[in-house]
Amino acid sequence: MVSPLSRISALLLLLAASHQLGTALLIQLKAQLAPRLVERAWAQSLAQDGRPVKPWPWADTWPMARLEIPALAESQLVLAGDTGNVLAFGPGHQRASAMPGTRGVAVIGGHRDTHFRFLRHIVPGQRIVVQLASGRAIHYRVVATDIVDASKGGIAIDSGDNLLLLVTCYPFDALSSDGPLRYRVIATPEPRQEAFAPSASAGAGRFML
Amino acid sequence: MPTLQLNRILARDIQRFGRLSWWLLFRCLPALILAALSLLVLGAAAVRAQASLAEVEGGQLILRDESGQRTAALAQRTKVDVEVTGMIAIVTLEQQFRNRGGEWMEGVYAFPLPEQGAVRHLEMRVGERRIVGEIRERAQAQQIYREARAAGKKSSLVEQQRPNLFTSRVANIAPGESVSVRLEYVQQVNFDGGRFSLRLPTTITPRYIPGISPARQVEQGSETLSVLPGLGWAKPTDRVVDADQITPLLHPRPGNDDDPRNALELRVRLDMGMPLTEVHSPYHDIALSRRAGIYEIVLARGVAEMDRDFELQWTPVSGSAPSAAFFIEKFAGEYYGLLLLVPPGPERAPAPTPREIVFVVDTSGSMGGVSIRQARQSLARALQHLRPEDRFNIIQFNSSHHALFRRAAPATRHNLQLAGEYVRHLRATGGTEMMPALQAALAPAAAADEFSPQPALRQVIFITDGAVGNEQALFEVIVRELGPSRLFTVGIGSAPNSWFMRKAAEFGRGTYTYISDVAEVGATMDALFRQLSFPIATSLTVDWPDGVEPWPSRIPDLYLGEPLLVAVRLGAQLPDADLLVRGRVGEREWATTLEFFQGSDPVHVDDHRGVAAVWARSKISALLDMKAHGKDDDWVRDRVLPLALEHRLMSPYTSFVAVEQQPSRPDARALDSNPVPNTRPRGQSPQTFAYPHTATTAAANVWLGSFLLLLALFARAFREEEQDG
Repeated sequence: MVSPLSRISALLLLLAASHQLGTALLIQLKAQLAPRLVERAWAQSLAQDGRPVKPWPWADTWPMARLEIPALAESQLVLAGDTGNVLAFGPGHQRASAMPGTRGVAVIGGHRDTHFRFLRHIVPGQRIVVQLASGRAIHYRVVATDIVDASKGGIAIDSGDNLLLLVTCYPFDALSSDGPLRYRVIATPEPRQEAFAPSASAGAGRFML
Repeated sequence: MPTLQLNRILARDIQRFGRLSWWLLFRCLPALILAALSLLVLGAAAVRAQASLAEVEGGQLILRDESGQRTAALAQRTKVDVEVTGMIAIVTLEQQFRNRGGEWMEGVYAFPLPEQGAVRHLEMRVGERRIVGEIRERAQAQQIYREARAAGKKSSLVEQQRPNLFTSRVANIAPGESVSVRLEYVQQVNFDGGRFSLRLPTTITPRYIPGISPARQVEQGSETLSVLPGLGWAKPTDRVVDADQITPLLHPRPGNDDDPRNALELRVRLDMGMPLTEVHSPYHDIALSRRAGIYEIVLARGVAEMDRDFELQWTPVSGSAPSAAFFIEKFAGEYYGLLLLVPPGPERAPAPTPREIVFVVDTSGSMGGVSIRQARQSLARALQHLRPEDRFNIIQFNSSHHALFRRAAPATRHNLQLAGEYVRHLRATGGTEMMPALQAALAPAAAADEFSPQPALRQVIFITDGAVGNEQALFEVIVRELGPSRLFTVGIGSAPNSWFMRKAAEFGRGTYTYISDVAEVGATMDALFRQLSFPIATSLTVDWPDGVEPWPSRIPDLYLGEPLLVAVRLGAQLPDADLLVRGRVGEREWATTLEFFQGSDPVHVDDHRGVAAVWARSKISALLDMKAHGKDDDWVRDRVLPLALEHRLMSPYTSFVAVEQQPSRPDARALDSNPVPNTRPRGQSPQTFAYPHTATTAAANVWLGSFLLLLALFARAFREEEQDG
C-alpha cells in the first residue's frame, strides 16, 4: 500500500522540478525569441534616422547599436540599459557609460549563458564593429580579455580612456548567478578612424584649419 | 568469504532491528549520499571561482599608459597670491600651461574658484609679452576666441560655468612653449565665531549628472562646432545641459605633494591691523613669518598637489576682534561700502524647545573613500547631541533614497541604538539622485497628526559633498518646499561643491559647515549643534539713508557666531547720517547706532580696494537667486549683464577674452585640443559605475530541476519495490 505521504511528496518533487526546469526554459526562450522583435525595431530605427523604436509597446528599452564580431560570425543588437529586465532580452549598454564613438568607456553587458556566451571565444586582435542607429560604424580592435572582481570596485568613468568593454559573468559555467567575477573584453578604437571625438565631432579631434 | 559474512551480518541486522535498519540502509543512506554529492558539486563551482580570482590578480591589464601620455601632454601649474586686508581678500591666480608634446595645442582646463569670488581681471602672458583681457558678453567672447584660434593667434578665454566652476582655454600653444593665464578676483573673508577664514578650492569632485542624454546628441556633427565643447567625461543631458563643461577628466592616479601632477604654489599676506593669536591651515603644512604686523604665509614645501581645498584660519587676540566695521571704496565716482556687525550674544539661552531633526546623508559613489567615513562619524557624533524629547530620522540617498524610520521617531535609547547601527553600515555607491531625498526630508506633513504634532523646530541636516550638476533645480526645490523647516548643510570631503553648500543653506535659511578631515568631526559637529539650538538674531534691519542700495536687501536670520555682512552702494556722496541697526536678539528687541560717517571711527579705512567688486558680486548673486524664485533666464540676464559689464566682472553672461595681435601658428600646422585633467580629490576612491549582473539563474534552475527529478525517480523506484514486497 502506498502511503499518501509519499505520494504527495513525490508529486511535490515533480512540481518543483518542473518549475525549475520551466524557469530555465523560459529564460532561454525569452533570450532566443526577443532578438527577432528587436531586429524589427532596429530596422525601423535605421529607417527613421536613428529615432529609438521600442521592440514591443510596453518595453522599457530599445535597440541602440549593432555589435558584430566578424571573426566569430556573431551579430547582436545592443539594447539601451543594463538592468536585469533589459539583459533578459539581449546585451545592454550601461546608460551611465559613454556612447560608443565618444570619449570615455562604453560598457555593454550581457548574460554569460545566453547572448554573451560567445565572449569566451574572443581573442585579442579580433575586430569588433559597433554600428549606431545613425548608421555610423565604429571599428574596435580587441586588445585584451581579463577577469575582474566586481565586488572590489566598478568601472572607472573618468579615466579619459576611449574603450569598449564587453562584460559578462565569470566563470562561464558556474551555477551561482550572483558571483563577483566578471569577464571583460577590452577593445580600443581602430587608430585609422579620425573622428574619435568627445560628445560631438569637435573637441579632442584635430582642428584642421 | 566476505560476501557471505556480510550477508550473514545483514540477515542478523534485519532480525535484530527489523524493518528500521533496512529502511535506514536503503532509504536514508542513498538520499544522504545524493544530497552530499550535490552539495559537493555546488561547492566546487564556488571553489573554482575563488581559484580563478587568485590567478587573475597578478595579470591585470593596464591600459592607461596610452591615454595617460595623451592627457599629460599639457602640464598645468597654479600660482596663487592672496592679499588680505580687513574683510577682503584680493587674489591673483596664475595658471601656467606648458606644452610638452610636439603639436600645437589648445588647452581646456576646468577649475574651481571660491563661490563668492568676483573675477575682475584677466591677463595672458607669453614669455615677456602681456596681453590684457577684455570683458565681453559671453557669446561674443566665444566668437572672438574662435576666430583668433582659427587664425593661429594665441588667445585665452575664461568662462564661468557655475559660480565656483570656471573653464580656462588657451589656444595655439607652440610645442615646448609655456603660456600663462592670470586672473584676479576679490573675495570676502569669512568671519564666524570670532575666527577669520579663507577657503581656496583646487580641484573638482566629479559631479553626478542626472537626466538622460538624447542619443542623437552624439551625432549632431558640424552644428556642434558652433559651441566650444567642454571635453568633460559626461554628455549633456536633459537636466544638465552643460554637463560636458563641468565634468573635467581626472588624472587616473592620485597625486602627492612630492611630485604634484597639478602643482600649487601659494603666498598669503595677512594685513589685519590687529594682533593674531593663531594662524592655522588644517590641510596643508605652512611656513609663517611676521613683519611689521603683517603675516606672510607660504606652503612649507613650496608646492602642494591640487587635490584638496586650501583653508587658512586666523584668530585675533581676544578682545581685539571687531564687533562692527565699515569699509569704503570709491569706484567710478561712486562710493561703495561693506558693513560688518557682530550682534551681541543673548544673555541666556532660551528654554530648549522640542524639535525634529532629519539627517540626510549622501551615500553616492562620489562619497567613497574618506568622505563616507567622515559622514558616518559626523552622524554618530550628531546622534549624541539628541535630547530625549527630540524626534529624529535618518535618510540616506544614492540612486534612490531610504529612511531609517517611516516617520521621525523619538530619540529613545533603543531608537538611538538602531540609528547607530544604521549609520555604521552606510556604504558609498551609486548615483546622486538628490532631489527625491530632499523632497522627502522637507515634506513635514507626514509627520504631523494629532498624536505627534508638528514640533516647533524642524531642522534638516544635509551631509553631502554636493557633487551634483543640477544645483539650480535643487535650489528651486528648497525654495518651494522648505515650509517651516530649516536646512543646514555639512560639506564633506577634500573638495566639496562649496557653492551648493552655501546656497542650499541660504535658501534653506540655515547655516553651512565644512568637514574635510576626520579629526575635525567632533569640534565641527559640536559647534553646529550649538548653532542649531536657535537663531541668535532675527528680523534685523539697517536704516540706510535714501538712495543707498544694500545687498542682500533682506538680512537673513543669524545663528551663533555669524556676523551681519551687507555690501552697499552709497552713491556719489558719503552720507553723513548715523546708521541704526535694529532687530531681535534672543527674546528681546535690540538696536544699535553706528557712527561710521563722522570721521572719528577707528576702523574706517579710506578706499578699501575690492569693496565695489564685492557689492556688485553680491548683487549679481542675489539676482541669480531670483531664478530659484521663479524668474526666467531673460529677466535675470537683462539685469545681470549690464551690471557685470559696468563692473568688469565675470558672470554666467560675461567672459574674459584675451587675443594676441600677431598669429603665431603656421597655417600648415594643425591644432590639437587637449583637456587638462584635475587631480583626484585626496582620499576619494575612483568614481565608478557598477558592473551589470550578467548571469541568469538558468544554469542553477536546470541543475536543481534535474536533481529534484532524480529524487522523484528514486522515490518512485522505492515505491515500486515496496509494492513488490
